[in-house]
This record gives sequence, structure tokens and C-alpha cells, in this order.
Amino acid sequence: MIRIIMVCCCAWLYTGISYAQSKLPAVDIERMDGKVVSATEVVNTDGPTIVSFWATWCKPCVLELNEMQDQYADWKDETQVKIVSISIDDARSSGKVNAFVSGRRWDFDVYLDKNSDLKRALNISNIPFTIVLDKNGDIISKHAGYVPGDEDIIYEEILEAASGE
Amino acid sequence: MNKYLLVLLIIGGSTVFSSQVVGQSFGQEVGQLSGGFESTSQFYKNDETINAQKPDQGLGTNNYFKLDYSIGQFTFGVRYEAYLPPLLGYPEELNQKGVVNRFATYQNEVLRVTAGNFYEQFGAGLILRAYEERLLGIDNSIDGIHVQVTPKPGIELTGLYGVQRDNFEEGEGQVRGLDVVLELNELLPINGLTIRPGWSLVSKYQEYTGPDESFPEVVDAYSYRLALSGTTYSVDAEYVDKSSDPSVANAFSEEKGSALLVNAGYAGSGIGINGTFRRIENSEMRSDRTASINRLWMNYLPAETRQHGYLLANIYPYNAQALGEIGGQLDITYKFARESMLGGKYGTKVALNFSQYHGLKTDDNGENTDFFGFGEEKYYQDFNVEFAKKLSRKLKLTLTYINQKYNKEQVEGVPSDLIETQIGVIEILQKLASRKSIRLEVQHLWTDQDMKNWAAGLIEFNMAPNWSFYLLDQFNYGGTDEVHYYQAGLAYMKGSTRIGANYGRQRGGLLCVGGVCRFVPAATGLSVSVSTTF
Repeated sequence: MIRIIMVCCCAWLYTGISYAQSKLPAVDIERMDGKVVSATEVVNTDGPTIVSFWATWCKPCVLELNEMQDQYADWKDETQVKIVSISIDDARSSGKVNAFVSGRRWDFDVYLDKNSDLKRALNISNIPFTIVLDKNGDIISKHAGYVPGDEDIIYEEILEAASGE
Repeated sequence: MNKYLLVLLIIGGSTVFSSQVVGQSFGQEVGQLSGGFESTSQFYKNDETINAQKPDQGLGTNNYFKLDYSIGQFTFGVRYEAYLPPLLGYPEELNQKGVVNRFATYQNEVLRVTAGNFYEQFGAGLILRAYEERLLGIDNSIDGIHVQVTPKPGIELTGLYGVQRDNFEEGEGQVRGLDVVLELNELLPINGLTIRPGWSLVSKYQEYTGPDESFPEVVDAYSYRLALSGTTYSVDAEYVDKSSDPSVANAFSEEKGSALLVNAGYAGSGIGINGTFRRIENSEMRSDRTASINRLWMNYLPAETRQHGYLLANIYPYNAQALGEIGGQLDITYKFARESMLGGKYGTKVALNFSQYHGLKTDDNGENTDFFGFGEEKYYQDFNVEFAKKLSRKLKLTLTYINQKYNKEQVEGVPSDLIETQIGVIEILQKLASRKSIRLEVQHLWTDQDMKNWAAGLIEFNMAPNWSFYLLDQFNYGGTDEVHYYQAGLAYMKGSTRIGANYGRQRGGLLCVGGVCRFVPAATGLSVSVSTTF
């Protein structure tokens, strides 16, 4: 069995170099006011977009968003970046998201993916999961998990994306 | 040869991609291939101290491989799963491998049609929710046809028909559903207030061959919803009415079922308030009347309580009581602004949560007499408060106090007194130079009941962007035995790939994700996990 898993991993490494999902798929998500929009519509056309998958119960997710909130004003000035946070809270806690966000003074765009349709379409296993897109909507990086300091890497990526490198 | 199917799929995918590149270079549309792989394996050993028993093969391994291909308005997907054998705590019926999910979807501006396996949720899921939660071994996807039509902005109609996944089989019962959602603001000149009514019908059919001529082969459930929201407030309400549904889960009760969920929220600058009320009665719905545990659920009845992130706060998690329960919860979050007296340089966050659930109020004959009445028996109560403050650019402190009352007898079905716990947590995050950080958690749970006291400590060392290491111990003491549940682990992350490993003891008990639980046995051993997406 171990051999099968190892062969699968090697096969993935071989193929993983070759291709990747290039844009967000046209999957419906909800705005905080309940209006349904396609994920393709949330992309920023003036600069890079950071798409962060999170949930109210996910401690590292909240830590990451707090860190990005602290620097969001500076990042916007420098790169025109837009942060789009997509909550995968399901019916248990999705009703709390608006209050949760306001109570933390987060001022980025918040959407709901209540049945994980977008998360599934992007093949994301676990959160936090962060995707960086350029202003054309092309995915330029993906980050599984979060440890403090990852926001510096993301900052470097949006600087590069904003400068068109 | 079957065991190499996974490898062939991946390599086959690569070959397809090669032709994509060629195709794109000639300006042809050849689509996009994407996928994901997740694997968790555990090597078990006997550990008498915690009653952990090594299974016969000494190993459990759950593997998931998913491949999607989209071209134009079409998307095709397939998922292969291999449990060789499943991890301890997962259903024995999963001890197989094979393709468990495949679908084809066509989508344009007005219409979306899926044939094959699909997931769906109507409203808050009280009437229908097909979803996947790998940590719990739940995948109740529907295999059939799903059609969604948006004839004009503001009107969304959904219809579905199929049978549900039951591990590597399919359930006997047929599931039919209709859902209508209206956005009145798109249809009428209304300003300042968003109004969204909704209505659903979910019906199931399962053949009955027993002697009772009045036994219902068809069970119908109706959902009526209304959502209102303004700039700072919102109110959502849903009521479900279900016809008689005798099943193993309700001891073949012929009573009708119902559910009422009301959620109201206020979101101002720096303050968020949210209140939830829920009453459920005989509201469990499965597509097979003989199914139990986490098999063939059609609807979703999570515990409407706070989902805690700390280990000791999850020793006594609540599990919703579908036969009858009434209660609610309140959340208040406030952030004192930066540079204010209590906010200091970085602001200060305070979060309060309270939840309480009781049985339904009944008369001497056991009849429910008062719809909004609370029964005398308390099932669960949780009061918790969290205080978080950034003390400097590199130091953050979080203090948490939790008081829980847990009716173990009701939730787990074993004789027990009401368990009352007091939990205190101190969490410190210290950033070091060069993208390194240390996180500490010190936790203590006090209780005079059940397994008595617990103390826990966690130290985590992170090196962004790739590495994370941790040491953890949960120490149970004060009762007849003193037991350490130690664990050490590491994770390596690069891009969309995460590889993790840990060695140590896993506490047995209820594992809950999203308010749905399964029992996991105590286990000791080495666990290795890999996940990636492309």
C-alpha cells in the first residue's frame, strides 16, 4: 500500500509541474446580503486579488485574516489589491459570519460558500487556503495552511503581480 | 491491476494536458484539467494505558483522488477513493476501493444541468443537505439528475432526483426535491431592505413490504423561508413540516416532524450581535428508514452551539437531538478601536457566546403541549468569553473562559450525571525574527464528574512559509487513573501541497466537525497525511 501511495505522489509530482487550474471556476457563492454571484465576478480588475478560504471556527484562518487586515490599507495603497474572504461556514455558523466580521472591524469583501461548492470545485482539502490572482484573474499562487509570516510571502507576490512581473 | 488505476489516471491526465498545450498553441479551445489528492494513513500500535488496540493489519489508510475537466460550458469530474483498510472509527463498509463519484455538468446563463453525483443544500439544510465531510466519513451525495434554472434575475428554481451514496453502495430510497428562491428586490421596486422568500419540497420513496397497510412509503417535507436584511441587520426564518416517517432512528414513531430556525443579526462598526433560536421535533430524515449513525442523512441538523477551537473544550461537544430539542444561542463580538482607552495601540477584541438546549415540554402522557415550552431536562449549556489583545507588533495574547453543562446520558446514551466543566485557556503568539514564531497554549478543565480534571499544554514552532512543528500533551488526572495523551508532529507546506506527520496518542470519544459527530476509538501510533490540489 505504501508503495502505491508513493507511486501516486511521484506521479502527481510529475504531472503537477505540467498544469494547474488557471482561473476561478464559475461557481455560485453568496454575498453577505444573500445575493448569489458567480466566483468569477469577485476578481479585482484594478490589481491583484487575494482569495482566502476561512471559517469562524478555524483559528489559523482568523489569525491570517487579522494579520492581513492590519496591513490591508498599506497593501491597497501600494498594489490596488483586493482581499476576498470566502467563508465555508455551513448552516451551523454561516448566520454568524456578518456579526463575526463586523466585530473584528475587517473591511474586506466577505462571501459565503455554505455547502463548500467553490471549495470542492477548487479541490481544496482543508482551510486555511489562500489563492493569489493577477488583475487578469489568472491564478499565480496557492497556499495550503497558514503560519505567521506567510502574509509576507503573499505581500511579495502581490507586489510582483502589481508591477506586472 | 486495479491498484494501479490511480497512477494511470494521473499519468493519463498528464497526457491529456500535453494535448491541451498543443491545442492552445494553435488557438483551439481544449479545456482545463484540475484535481486534488488527499491521503491519510495511520500505523497503529497496542497501548494498554488508553485501551488502544492495534487492528489486525496494523494500518488504516484513507485516500481520495479527484479529477475535473472543463471545456466550454461543460465540466466532467470523477473521484476515486481507496480505504485499505479505513482508519479506525470509519465505517467497516468503506473497506474497499473504487470510483465513488462521477458527474457531467452543462451550465449557461439560465440553466445548469448535472447528471451523476451532485451536492445540494436547500435553505439552512433542515430539509435537504447533500455534502461531503471526510473527517467524519460522510458523503451523502445524490446520484441522479439536478437541474437549476434562472428564468429571469431574481427567480431561481431547482429540481433534483436520485439516490444517495451509502459508502460504496447506493441507498434504497429515492430522493426528489424542488426549491424556489425569489429575490424580491430584483422583481419589485424595493429599496433599503432585501427580501428573499423561499420554498422547498423534499420527498422520499422507499418500498415497504411489511404487514402494515398504512405504512408510508412516501414521506414529504415542506420548507417555508423568509430572509430580510438591511444595511446593519438581518433576520432569517425557516419552518419545516414533515409527514409521518417511521424509522429506526425514531423507534418507528408515526408522529409528524417539524423544525423552526430563526436567526437574527446586527452588524455595526466594531460590533456584531447574533441570536439563534431552534426547535426541532422528530425531524431526522434519511433516505433509508433502516439507516443509522451517519448513513444516508438527507437533512442537516448540526448543534447550534459555538464550535470551539481548543482541545479541552471539545471533550464534551454537543450533538443535536433530532427527536426533540429546543434552545438557542447568542453571540456578541466587540472590538475596542485602536487608540481608544481600552483598545490601546492595536485594538482589543472581546467575544461572548451563550447557548442552551433543553428537551421539549411534555405533559404527563409524553405529548408535546407547548410549542415554545422548554422541558425540564437540560441537554447542554455553554457560556464562554474570549479576550484577545495584540500587546506589541510581535506579541499577541488570548484569554478564554468556558463553562459547559453536558448531559452525557442524553447525548451519548450512557448512564451519567450532568457534567459541569470550567475551562481556562491562555494562548500566546510571539513572532520572532526571520518569519519564525512560537505559539503556546496552556489549558485546564475542572470537573467533579466523569473523567475529572484535564490539563493541556501545546507548543508550536513555525518557520514560514514551509515548516511547522508542535508538541502537545493532554493530561487527565484526579480520577482513578492518570493518563498523558502526548503527541508530536510536524507539517511541511509548499504551495498547494501540505504534508503532515504526527506520533502519539489520540483520545477516544466524540469527534465533531460542523456540529455533526462520530465516535472515534482511542488510538496510538504514527499518522502521515498528504494533500494537494492542482
